[in-house]
Amino acid sequence: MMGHIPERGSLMSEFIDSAWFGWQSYTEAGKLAALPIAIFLFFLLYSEIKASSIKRRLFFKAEEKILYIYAAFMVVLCICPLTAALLMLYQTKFYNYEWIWSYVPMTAVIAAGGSTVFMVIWQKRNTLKDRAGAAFVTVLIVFVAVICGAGGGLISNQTEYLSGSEDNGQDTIVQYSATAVLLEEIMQEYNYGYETADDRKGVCLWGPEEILAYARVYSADIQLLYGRSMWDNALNAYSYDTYTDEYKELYEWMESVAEYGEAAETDRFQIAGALEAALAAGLNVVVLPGNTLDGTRAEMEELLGVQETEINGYFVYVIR
Amino acid sequence: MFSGKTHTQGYTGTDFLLTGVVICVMLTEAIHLYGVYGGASVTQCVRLLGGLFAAAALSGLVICAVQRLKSRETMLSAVSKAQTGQAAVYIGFAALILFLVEFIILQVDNNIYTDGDMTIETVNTFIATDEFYSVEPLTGAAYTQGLPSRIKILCLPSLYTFLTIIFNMSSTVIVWRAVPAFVLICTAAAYKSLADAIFLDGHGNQSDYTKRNLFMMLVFVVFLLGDYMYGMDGFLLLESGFRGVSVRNLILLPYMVSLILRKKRLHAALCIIAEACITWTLYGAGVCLFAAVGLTVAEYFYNFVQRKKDDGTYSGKGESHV
Repeated sequence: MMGHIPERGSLMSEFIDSAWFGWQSYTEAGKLAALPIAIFLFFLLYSEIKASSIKRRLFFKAEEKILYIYAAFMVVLCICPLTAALLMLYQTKFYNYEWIWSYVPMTAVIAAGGSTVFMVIWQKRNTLKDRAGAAFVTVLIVFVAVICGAGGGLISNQTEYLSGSEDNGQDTIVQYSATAVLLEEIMQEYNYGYETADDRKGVCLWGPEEILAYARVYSADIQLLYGRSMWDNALNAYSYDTYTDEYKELYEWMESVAEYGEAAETDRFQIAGALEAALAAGLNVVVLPGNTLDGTRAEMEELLGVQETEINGYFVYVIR
Repeated sequence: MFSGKTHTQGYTGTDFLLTGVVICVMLTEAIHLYGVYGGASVTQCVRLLGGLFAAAALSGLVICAVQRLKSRETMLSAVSKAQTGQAAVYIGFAALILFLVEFIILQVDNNIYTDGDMTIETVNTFIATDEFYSVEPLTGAAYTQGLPSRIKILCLPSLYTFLTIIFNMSSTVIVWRAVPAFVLICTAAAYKSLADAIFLDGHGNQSDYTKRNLFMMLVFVVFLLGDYMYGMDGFLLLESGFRGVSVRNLILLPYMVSLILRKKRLHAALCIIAEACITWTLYGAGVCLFAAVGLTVAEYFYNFVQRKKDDGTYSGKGESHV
């Protein structure tokens, strides 16, 4: 959600750029933001028809009208780049463009406007023909609304999020549960070599993203060389601390191994220096992905001076 | 949704629930600040908070009971006047079914959006260290530079820590299952409060109740439809209901809108303060404050236009026919 703090003079221009393209991104995955606009247009056009010429009339309480006035005004402010930029300035750089739409009570407007529209459609429908017509219009409106909402995400490919991450949160609990089982066994393996709890030092773990992501969720007793903030930029807003170059090097090496089974030719075990720094900082458990090639595993054993143990498809190295 | 209770200018059960939630947030904030800046341990703060919550809950129940007894006579006569109508009842049932569907989704769905969030790591770290922000939650290493004050002061991790300890359950169950379910209940209450403010005027018209129940049904439909992108209300509810922005957008904002429309501005100020306790704001100025000012301006604008119309033709008090 948050990046660097630019110079004061360029902050506004950065917001205007975000606001200019933000609307496009905001409506890329779904068009629910179009529904309040459609509702306002409906009310505007309906009011142009003389009430006496049709039997169905709209009745607004004052409170409902005040809500629509505020919401309509805010929709305009959110779409126009300059005013949207000012709103982004107000909400601070911690938030991205899409959060200015929190100022629009979108759900309330869609629900209130929708209920008014449906009341108009179904008002004084006494014959079968009238009711069939009303039902047809209702189904049409529902269909349009479902399309606008991209079927609640079922229709659109909604794996891209404005936060920049490709992770759409799917099956988090399943992934966590599987990782927890693995971590439980790793901890047992770690504890096995110690006679008493007093002999044990705390666990400091290094491994691929899919394990580190849930390690601290599983237990705060597991320390990590680096956490999710290494790959989730939004989390950098929660701390002023930064990672050392050595840890960044270790991260890139590990993710290369996770993807290809080994590090790139130029990186292969140039991490020896970085690994030494990590060991000095307390690293005592290393986990390599199951697809790690034999050569890389052998080199890791040689570097750490310990034998690997295979646990649930991963290769674990415990340094005691 | 089914009751024939008419809208009153006083407080309803949903007001007590939502005000209770707001007060709990504020109490948690006070204790959290005491822990962060006063050096109190997590255990001490949990005991303090437990005592305060118990006192607040007891006071709330007493006030609620007294208020109900006082307004009982008014309510009974109002109930006898109210005519809910068959359509309103059926639509109310549909809304209830959608509410239950979403409740079940929250309990069985495995999709939890955790990007940019470290709530559970923070809760686990608070419990493990018995201190607030002594180590970095994502790594467990001691801070070297520290963290922004505007993050440090936010109290939701402390509230979840309190719930995890009190109920002796896993932090993942509390944060990923229990809290979103409670947020759904409070969201329904907040939107019901808003619906009562918009549609009910105390005269007990059938169409008012139909429209109100239709509003509630459409709210739940919009949540389901909006579950496609982070930032949409539906996504916040169904995939990240534990976050501060979710509580703000789903509970505080609609409830505050309801309070402003009912001209309870002092009460609405509590929502503004609560938002500052749970989300990053511009020194306390967040979405709720902006919306409160915006709605007030909209109200003045509406009254101004109505006065101009009344100068010319009579349009009927409080209603506008289109």
